[in-house]
Amino acid sequence: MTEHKLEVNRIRKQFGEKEILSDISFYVDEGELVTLLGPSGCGKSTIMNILTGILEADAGGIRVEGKVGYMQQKDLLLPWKTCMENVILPDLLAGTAKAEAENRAAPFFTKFQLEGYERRYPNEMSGGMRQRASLLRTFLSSGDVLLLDEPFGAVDSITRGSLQQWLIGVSRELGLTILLITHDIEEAILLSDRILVLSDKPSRIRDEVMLTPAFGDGKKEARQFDPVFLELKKRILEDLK
Amino acid sequence: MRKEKNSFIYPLITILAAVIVWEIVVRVFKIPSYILPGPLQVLQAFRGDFSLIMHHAGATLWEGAVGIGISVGLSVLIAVWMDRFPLVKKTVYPLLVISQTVPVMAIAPLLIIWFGFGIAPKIILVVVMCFFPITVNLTDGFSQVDRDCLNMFRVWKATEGQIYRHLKFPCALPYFFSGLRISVTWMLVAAILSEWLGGDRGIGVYMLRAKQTYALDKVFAAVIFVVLMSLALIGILNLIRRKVIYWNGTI
Repeated sequence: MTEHKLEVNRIRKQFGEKEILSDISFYVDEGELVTLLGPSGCGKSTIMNILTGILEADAGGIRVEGKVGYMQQKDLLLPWKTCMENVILPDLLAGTAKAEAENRAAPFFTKFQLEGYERRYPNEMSGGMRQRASLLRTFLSSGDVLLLDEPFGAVDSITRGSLQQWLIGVSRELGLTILLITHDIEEAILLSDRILVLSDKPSRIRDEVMLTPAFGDGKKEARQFDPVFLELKKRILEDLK
Repeated sequence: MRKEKNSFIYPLITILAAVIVWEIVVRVFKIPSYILPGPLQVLQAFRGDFSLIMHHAGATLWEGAVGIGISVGLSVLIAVWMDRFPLVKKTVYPLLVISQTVPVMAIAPLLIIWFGFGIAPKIILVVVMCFFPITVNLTDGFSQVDRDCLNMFRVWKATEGQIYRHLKFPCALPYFFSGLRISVTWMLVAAILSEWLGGDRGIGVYMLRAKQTYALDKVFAAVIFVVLMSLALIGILNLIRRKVIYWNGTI
C-alpha cells in the first residue's frame, strides 16, 4: 500500500447521545487538493478539530505524515502585530529566532501577493489580503498538510473568485497538500482533485467525485467554463438530496 | 479625537459662567469669607500659599502613585490567577464584589489605628479603593479573548506564558485602561481622605488645617487644585493609552 500524506481511518464521534460522525474514512495524497463537501452543520468542523487535535475521536485513527496547519474562515490575524509579525508568530512560539523566521518568510510574500505589506497592520489590509496572510501563516507553520476550513467564506464573491484562482496557482507552484472544507459546490468543483460528499448528521461519506479524470488534462482555471462543470454540479446536488 | 476636543468647550463655558455668577453673588450679598469666599479671593489664597500647596500635593501624589503601582501589580496577579483557574474565579470574584460594599469611611480610621500616622495607612487605603476597578476590567478583558484565536494558539502548542504575552495581555489592554482611568480618579480621593484623618503632610492635612482656622478660601483653593490634578492625571493616562494601544480594530 502506498503511503498517504494524511489518512483517516473509520473515525466516529458522539456528543452525548447525538452521533455526529459515523465511520468516516478518507485519505489525501501529496500535492493533492481534496474537498470535504457537505451542508452546514454536518460535522465538517468536527473532523477538522479532530485532525488538529482540539477534539479526540471516540473510535478510529488518523495518521499524518508531518505537521498539519489549520486555517479558518476568520483570518484571526492579531491586530497589534504587523503582517510579518503575524505570519512568523508560530515560528517564534516554537523558539525560532526572529531574524531567522523573517528570512524564511520573506521570499513567500511575493507569491502570496503581500509584498510591500510586511510592516503594515491587518486593519490596513483588504479582506483578500488578510486571508492570504492567514494562509501564509498556516503554510509557514506547517507546510506538510494544510487544513482549510471554509477559507473564503467571509469575503465578498468577487474577492472569493480571485482568491480561488490565486490558490490554484500557488498550490500548484508550491506543491501544496490541502484538505479543504466547504459548503460551496462550485468552489469544490473548481479547486479540487477529489471531492468527498458528506451526508447530514450523522455524517458519512456519500460519494467520491474524481475531478482530474472528469476534466481531462485541462487546467483548473478553465474548469468553470467546461460543460462537465454543470454535470458534476448536478451529480453532487443529487448526492446531497 | 477631534470631536472630544470640541466637546470640551461646553463644560468649560458652563464652569466659567458658574464662576462669574459665584463672584457676583458673593459681592452683591456681601457674604463673609468664612462662609463663602469668592473665586477671586480663592485665586489669591492659591497664589499666596502656592509653594505650601505644592509641598503637600507632592506628598499626596507620591502616596497615590505608590498605591496605584501596588494596585496594578496586585490586579494583574489576581486577574491572571482567576483566569488560569476557574475555581479561583468562582471563589474570589464574588468576594471581591462583596469587599466593595464595605464603607471605606469605616475602615480608614482603623487603618490609622493599626498602621500609625505615617505613609503606610494612606497607601493601603489607595490600594483598597483602586485595585478593584483594574482587577475587574482586566478579568473581563481576559474572558473576552476570541475562542478561535485561543484554539489556534493551542494548535501551535504555545505555552501559557506565550499566550498571555502575545494574545491575552494585548487583548485585555483596552479594558485595563478603562479600569485604570477610574482608579486614577479615586486615587487622590483615597489619599486625601486618609490624610484628613491623621498625618502631617498632604493636601488632606492642608485642607484640615485651613478648615480649622475658617480659612475657607484656602480650602477652596486646595479643592480646585485637586480637581485640576485629577484632570491632568487623566490627560496623561489618555496619552499613555494612545501610545500603548497603537493598533486599530479587533480580531
